[in-house]
Amino acid sequence: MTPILSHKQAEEMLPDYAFGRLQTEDAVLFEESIIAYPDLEQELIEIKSVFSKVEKMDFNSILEHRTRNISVRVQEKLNAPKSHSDKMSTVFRIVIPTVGLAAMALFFFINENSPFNTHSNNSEYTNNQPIQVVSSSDVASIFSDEITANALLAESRLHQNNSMVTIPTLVTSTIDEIIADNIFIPSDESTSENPLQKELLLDNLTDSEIQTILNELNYENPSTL
Amino acid sequence: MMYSMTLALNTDQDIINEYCSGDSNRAATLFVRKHQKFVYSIALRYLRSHDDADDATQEVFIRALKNLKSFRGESSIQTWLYRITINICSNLVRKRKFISLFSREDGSEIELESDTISPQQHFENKDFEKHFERMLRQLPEKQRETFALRYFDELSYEEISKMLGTSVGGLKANYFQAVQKLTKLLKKSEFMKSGEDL
Repeated sequence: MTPILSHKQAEEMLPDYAFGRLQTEDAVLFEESIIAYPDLEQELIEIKSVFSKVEKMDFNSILEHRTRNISVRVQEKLNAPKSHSDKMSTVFRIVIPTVGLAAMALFFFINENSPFNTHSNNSEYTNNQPIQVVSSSDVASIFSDEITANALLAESRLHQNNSMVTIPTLVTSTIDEIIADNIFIPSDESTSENPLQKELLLDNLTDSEIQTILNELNYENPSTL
Repeated sequence: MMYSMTLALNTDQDIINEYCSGDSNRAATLFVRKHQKFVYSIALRYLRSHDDADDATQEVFIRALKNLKSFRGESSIQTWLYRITINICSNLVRKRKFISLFSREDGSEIELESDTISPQQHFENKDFEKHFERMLRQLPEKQRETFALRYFDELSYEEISKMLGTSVGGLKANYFQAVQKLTKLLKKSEFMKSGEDL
């Protein structure tokens, strides 16, 4: 005879059958199936024998005895006016931490050095952007470029719809060329910081250019010479 | 009197409706009486002390009644109460562990007792109950909880599944394993050897 329930199914129904908690249909199904599984039959006999003593224990009456006054005590506690200590515990648990957090948040927002104050930091950051330096190889390539008015116009049109602020290559090379045609005089700050750079710049000048500069300086401020 | 009150409010929904509509004292009493054994037995399993279980049960019902109006019925009342009980018991266990750091007292054994039995039977049962409780404690938590909710509280597998967050198939396997282990443990014990006549 082929069992109706698998071994696993019969195993899962076994405790409920042993304690009489299966519905009649399921119980019949279980009884028909368990014949095919002698190990489960043996298990069932043992469980019934051992739990017969447990079943005699009246846990329900024990719990009833233990819980007989709970509803009264719950009502008393619910209806009791809130004590001073309860109010204080609310203050300590909710009010003080909330006020503390609010104060800390306020402190961070007000303080200019706080990490939350992004406005000042951002502006500082944008002001300190490094200046791009053109290398000597770039200069050589700039001078070798053949610049035409049409090419310059075409490249500037190509970039006019670009949201990012970029300078077209030909335009930058033109600007560089204009700078190269004139004498670049570095700011006082940079020369004072780097005397070597100043020396190198003077080396590139011709004698007549140096003489012109000296004359101009003498004209503007005779005491410096 | 109490019987007629219970008849008038059969279901949890009836009790909640009456509690929300105004007669909160009567509804609260019925609500507590209906579920007190269930809550108390869970608390007792977790806290292993009648006094603590008693305190926890009161705390559970106070919290439940304060929030009963906001109960939306997404789960059964028993599932809801089970979760509240577990939360409160966990807090109590944490507190007790903290207090035990400063105390030399050992955890006391559960002493189950009943008024309705003879003194001799009382002592015999008391011993066996304590022994059974010890056996129960040897089971893994999931198996113990499944066994208790199914065997003592007679809840359906679907309800237990919602409470413990385990599949019905898993619960059935847990229940079988728990019963199997308890059978083996109890069979070995002196109570079974000497109590063949029982």
